[in-house]
Amino acid sequence: MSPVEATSKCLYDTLARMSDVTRILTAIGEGDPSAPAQLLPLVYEELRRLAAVRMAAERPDHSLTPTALVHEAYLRLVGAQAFDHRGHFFAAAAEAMRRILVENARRRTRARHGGNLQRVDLDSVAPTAPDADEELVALSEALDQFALVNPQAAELVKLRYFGGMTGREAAEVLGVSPRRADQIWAYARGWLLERLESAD
Amino acid sequence: MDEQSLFIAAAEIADPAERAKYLDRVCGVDKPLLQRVQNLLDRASNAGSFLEKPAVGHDVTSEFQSEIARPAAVASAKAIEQPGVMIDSYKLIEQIGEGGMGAVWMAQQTDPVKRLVALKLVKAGMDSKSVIARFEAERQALALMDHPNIARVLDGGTTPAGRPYFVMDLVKGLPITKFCDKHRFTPLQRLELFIAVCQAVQHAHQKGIIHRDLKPSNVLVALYDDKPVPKVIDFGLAKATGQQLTDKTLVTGFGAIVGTLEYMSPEQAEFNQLDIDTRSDIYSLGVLLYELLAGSPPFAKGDLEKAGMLEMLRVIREKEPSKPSTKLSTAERLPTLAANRGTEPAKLTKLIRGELDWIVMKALEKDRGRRYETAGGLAEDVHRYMLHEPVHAHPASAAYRLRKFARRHKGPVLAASLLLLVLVVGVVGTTAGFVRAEHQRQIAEQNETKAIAAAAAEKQERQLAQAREAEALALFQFVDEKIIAAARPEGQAGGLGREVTIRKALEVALPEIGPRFANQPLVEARLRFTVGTSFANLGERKIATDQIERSLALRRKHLASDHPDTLACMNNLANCYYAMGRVADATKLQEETLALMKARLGPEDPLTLGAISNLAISYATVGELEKALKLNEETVAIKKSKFGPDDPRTLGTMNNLAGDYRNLGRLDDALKLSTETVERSQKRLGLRNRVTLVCMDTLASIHYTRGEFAEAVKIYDSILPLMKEILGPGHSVTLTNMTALANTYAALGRYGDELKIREETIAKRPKADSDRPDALDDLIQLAELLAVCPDAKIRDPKRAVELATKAVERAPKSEWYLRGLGWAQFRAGAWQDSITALNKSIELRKSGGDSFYWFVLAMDYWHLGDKAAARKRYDQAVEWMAKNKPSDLRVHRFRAEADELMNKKSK
Repeated sequence: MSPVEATSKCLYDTLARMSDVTRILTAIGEGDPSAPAQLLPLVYEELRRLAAVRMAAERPDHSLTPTALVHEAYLRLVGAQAFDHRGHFFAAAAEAMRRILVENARRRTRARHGGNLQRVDLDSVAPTAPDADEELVALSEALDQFALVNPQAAELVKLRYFGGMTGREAAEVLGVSPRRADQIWAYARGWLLERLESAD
Repeated sequence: MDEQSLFIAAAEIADPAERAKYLDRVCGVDKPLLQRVQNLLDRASNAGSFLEKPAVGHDVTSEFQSEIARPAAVASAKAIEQPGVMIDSYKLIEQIGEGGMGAVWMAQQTDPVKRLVALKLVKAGMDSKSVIARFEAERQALALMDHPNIARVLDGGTTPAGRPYFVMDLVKGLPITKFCDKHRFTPLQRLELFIAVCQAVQHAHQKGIIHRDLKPSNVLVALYDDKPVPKVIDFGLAKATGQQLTDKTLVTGFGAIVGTLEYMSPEQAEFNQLDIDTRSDIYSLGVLLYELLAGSPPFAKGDLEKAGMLEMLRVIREKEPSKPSTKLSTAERLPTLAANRGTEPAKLTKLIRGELDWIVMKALEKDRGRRYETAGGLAEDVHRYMLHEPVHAHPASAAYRLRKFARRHKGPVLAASLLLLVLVVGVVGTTAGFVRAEHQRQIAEQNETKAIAAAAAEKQERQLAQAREAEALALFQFVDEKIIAAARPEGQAGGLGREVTIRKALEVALPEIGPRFANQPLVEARLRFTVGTSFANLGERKIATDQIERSLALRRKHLASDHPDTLACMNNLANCYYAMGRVADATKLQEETLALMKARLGPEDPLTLGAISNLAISYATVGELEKALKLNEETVAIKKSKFGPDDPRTLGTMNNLAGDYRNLGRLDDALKLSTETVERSQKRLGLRNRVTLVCMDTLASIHYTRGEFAEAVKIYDSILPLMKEILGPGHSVTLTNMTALANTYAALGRYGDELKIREETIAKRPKADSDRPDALDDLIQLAELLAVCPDAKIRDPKRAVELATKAVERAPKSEWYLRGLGWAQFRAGAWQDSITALNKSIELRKSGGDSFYWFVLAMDYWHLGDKAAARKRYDQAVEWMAKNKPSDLRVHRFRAEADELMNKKSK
């Protein structure tokens, strides 16, 4: 009915960003379908910082697991309260984790292929098998393609592989039975393997 | 059955032969599907541990393993680090310190010369190879440093146990803060030492070395011939070691933070450290000076640690420190601090307050572009202070005042921030270019030819950035003095009182723009453009139009007629015209703009595409539907391939195209496209998004046009609260939505709801808009409801006449308003007036009268006793109805009413 003007849009985006995680989770509880998307940048930032700081600890905490990292982010951003819709938080966390890891892997891969090891930036010295990085990037790209044809199955992979969730936890987030989640999982693994191997 | 369901069903069948049979049966002739599913099943059963172990666990643990695998090496290394042990040609004598990086030993060099040196053994746990590699990369530059206040780094290598070590000039001194306190140095003596430190850092910067970890323990002062001489140590080591593993320093796997927290610059507290430059050292020098004067750094270690790691970093990045004099005056230890500076508390605070505060705060600016440009510049300003010359640092920056202002005026400052945002954007753009050039320079360092080219590019970028910065500064100062300053109390320079709105402030400032920028027409043009566009966003169309017109005149005079800035001006001006209802002017200007854009920027440039969309909207508004349709159809195709189908720009045009289909009566096409647009925008942009809301509004209007009122109400109802929240209750889009909702209620016969919404629409419409067509439409629509509503409780003839009269006064040539007035007057019993208004309206109509007029006229005449005239109108009306079969219920009600009045029998 009325023209979409681009000029003032940024203003509203800025206002939208001001929302905090608790408010977004409440909005999700109230059925606002756009809220999960707002969650991602906040969770992403927090996880990045958290992971960075955790890894900075002189004596690395041996009990650190991806789930622990995500749960710590939850505590920091939401507090101890339990939300019915916390599953959305973990979904966002899984996506955030994926982006962080893939960015990292891409950076390291680029540095390696740059052929100039001495000038590698500080953040790329952490030793990781080269193949693992490339595989991670390839997997993430395959996952993007998978999400186009089967969003639910792709989400499951994201939750389990990048979010570090168990099959049961992931099932809960997706709102399917654990058995159903296992069935989808089998299919997803087959699909992704096929895609990755046929790409070689 | 889709692939996944088939896969799952088949996977449930354990027996391979049975499974194959099942697949064969279900797939039938679709052999590719059969093969595909079979293939996936094979893969899945041979997937092994694929994906079973989470990615994070893998990444995190592999990084930890490299740490954990070392203890044996560490133990053996410890064993050999004892006095007397030789490391290459250095003999360890005694351990003289333990720093963040590792232990420092006094050592005897035996070859090529015999001398005492300091040998720093880097802690275990770092990747020695990269440390040494980075040190080697920096070594030549380090060797170029030759300054009496810099302790040279002489050598570096690896111990037999694999630990990196560095060899430096041996400095037997105390950290500068301790030295000064111990010798009770006065502030002036401290400043003198500090100047020497700045000069040392300046020297290093000129050789291309950034320290990155300046702090008191890296600035040692020793007495040589009874003269205190500061020496900066550890130059280049922070970069080489990168990761410092101490409680005070951070290291990360993702982006390294190097430095000691209290002295760390805001940009070092970021996770991306690509662009640390010399100005980070300036910040650390600022902290050092702060501590020398006030006795503690701006953010004390204790406070920082209490806050937790993340909070600490946030504080460094965002929190404005208190001025040194403020810090001092509130310090419990003030008497001790003053005694250590050979003075008294009151005198000390007074000495520091003012210029020294300013100097320190300038070095500590969060935005490094506002710090001293060089360490030498900082030293000079301190020197100026000592000579009682005016210093270059200023009190409270404009940005600081803006933040203060923002806190006081949450509402109006929105506009101010918007304004500043737009003004600063240009500078940010060029700064980004500079950073890129700087990055290129780094990459190319080892390749001289490239380096020269990159350096030239960098210089050019820097000059450009400086020019833009100067321009932005001029603008900023204007905004600050004339607009932000308006928030000062009345009586002060520029002050209009604290409760002044930004609009008022701008009104006062607008006349000043001309004289102020008389010699800088392009700066003036930019300011007017920005102010105008901001006002347009705020709905102040008159001011907006005036400012943008003046900006355009300037740009046309001083720039090419097809310069992108000129074109942007034309585009926004056309939008202003459109918003003011001057659609013909808008269309003409848009056609002109578009032609120029196509030629200058190309037909598929994002700006051109935006201009096409705007023009299409104007065409649609003036009823040139086919033209609008053609433009939008072409543009949607281009935008889909250029931006993708889910981009807000694509979605916006798709939405407009759906509107074109609706207007052309292609309702199935409209519904299909609009539904798709809504789905995509909800998914991509979310519900709380302006584009999504507008798309939903269009979908509802299509349902309305299709007569699907219940669906329409459902959508209108659901988006209204979101629009009120996101766009504001008085925003024109929100109000249009409310009108549409009211119309839908009317169609459903929900007159009570209709009344409520129409009243609210009128109440919420901004006063400034009361002459706009929309606002008058509001009045007449409510008047019609109050006049002809079948629910007698809702009818209010007197008010209906008032509202309609108001609308007709403002727009005496509107046939619609006159008809509304005629109806209201009929209901109020002003028969003669009603006849006059209705006849005037019929005269204005190209198509003449219809039953909506004739039934009411018939009743008017009947009441006046002219039964012949009444019957004539009545017959006319009945005939018209039989021919045109109108669906609008109101005309049927008029007929029933006339039948009853004139004792006719309704069918």
